[in-house]
Amino acid sequence: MIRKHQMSRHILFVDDEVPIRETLALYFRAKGMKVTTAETGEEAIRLSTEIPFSLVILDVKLGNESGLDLLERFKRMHPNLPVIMFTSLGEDPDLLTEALAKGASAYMSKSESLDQLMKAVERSMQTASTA
Amino acid sequence: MRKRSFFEKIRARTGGIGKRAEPFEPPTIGSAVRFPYGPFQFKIEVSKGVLYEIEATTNLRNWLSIFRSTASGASDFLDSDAAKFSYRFYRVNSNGLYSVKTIGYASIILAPGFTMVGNPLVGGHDSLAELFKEMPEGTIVSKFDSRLHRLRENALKGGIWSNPGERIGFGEGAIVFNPSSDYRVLTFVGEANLDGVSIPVPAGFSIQTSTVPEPGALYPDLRFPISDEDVIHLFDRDQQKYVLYPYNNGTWSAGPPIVGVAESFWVAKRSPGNWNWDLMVRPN
Repeated sequence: MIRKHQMSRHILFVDDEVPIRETLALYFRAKGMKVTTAETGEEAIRLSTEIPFSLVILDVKLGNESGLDLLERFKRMHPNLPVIMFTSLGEDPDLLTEALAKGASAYMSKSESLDQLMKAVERSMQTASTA
Repeated sequence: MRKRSFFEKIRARTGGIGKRAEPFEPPTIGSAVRFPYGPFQFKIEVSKGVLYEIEATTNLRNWLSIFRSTASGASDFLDSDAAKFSYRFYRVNSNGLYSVKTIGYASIILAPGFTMVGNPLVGGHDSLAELFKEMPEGTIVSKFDSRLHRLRENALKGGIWSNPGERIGFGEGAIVFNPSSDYRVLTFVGEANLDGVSIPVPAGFSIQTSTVPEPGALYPDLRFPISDEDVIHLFDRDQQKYVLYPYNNGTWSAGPPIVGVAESFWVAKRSPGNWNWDLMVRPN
């Protein structure tokens, strides 16, 4: 069942790993959300200046770029935009601490199920809308 | 033992000049359909009065005779035992002559959410309308567009696919989204490819599927052209998540990925390769 408010929510998904990015984008769309995808940091930054996104999902390791540096840029440009960091590197407490210190609203592992990822997205959006 | 010449073989079958000739046209097999409740039906044609048997297999190597009779021309055969197998293949043997085609089916469970599927059979009814007859509204079938680097979605809305002409052809893979909370079944029906196949696997990301209807480790069992730094992404349809299988220093870091029949998978390849398979199992 697609809730009406979900259609107005627009996610920017920044990941160069095609399978997870495309499948998750498809999943979020099937759940009634709008999704725009980007493969590079520059593309993501440009899109964020053109579209008022509700949330960003950002890969920690984006090719040769650092997702954490990109997180800082996002938060400088859009302080209220929730950003979820996404990683396949496993649970790294140092990375987690650094991401949260730089303003990430959550930290998710790519090895979690799509439903778990959806829940994290909904939680972050809920928190952002009530803040 | 001395090998018999072609003409000796013919004489052995026909009984020589002046005697009644036995037919040596190979039997035919086709027009297959798998019913939703499991049985598999197909049409065979064998010259009238000739003894024949129908053989079945699940591995294209060891064949089991499942029916014997004297032919009355064209007839339908229904394998009720097919409900017990998720994939099975058939041929007709008449006096040592086999049907040119080996036909069969390969089914895969579509879990609620996503399943990666692939068609291992040739020349079947592979349009989305035929493959997904029983699927509910909101079903999405996506194929990877390697030029745009994204999935091309094809959704079922109002009983019509957004791209009605799309097919999942032999050797093609796709991601299916089942919007219901029920498990469904997708069945590919067609001809098992027993000849050599060479499928190009590009560098970068692509969706691949085995053209050999056998489950196994991608490498070595299924002879996928794996190289160092390649990564296989298998989608676990029960857990609804990806599991990664990196290949480094000539070995699978997390054990080999096991791919089932009619499943597909993602591969991230450092350099292009060819997936070659030469399955010579048909008798001469």
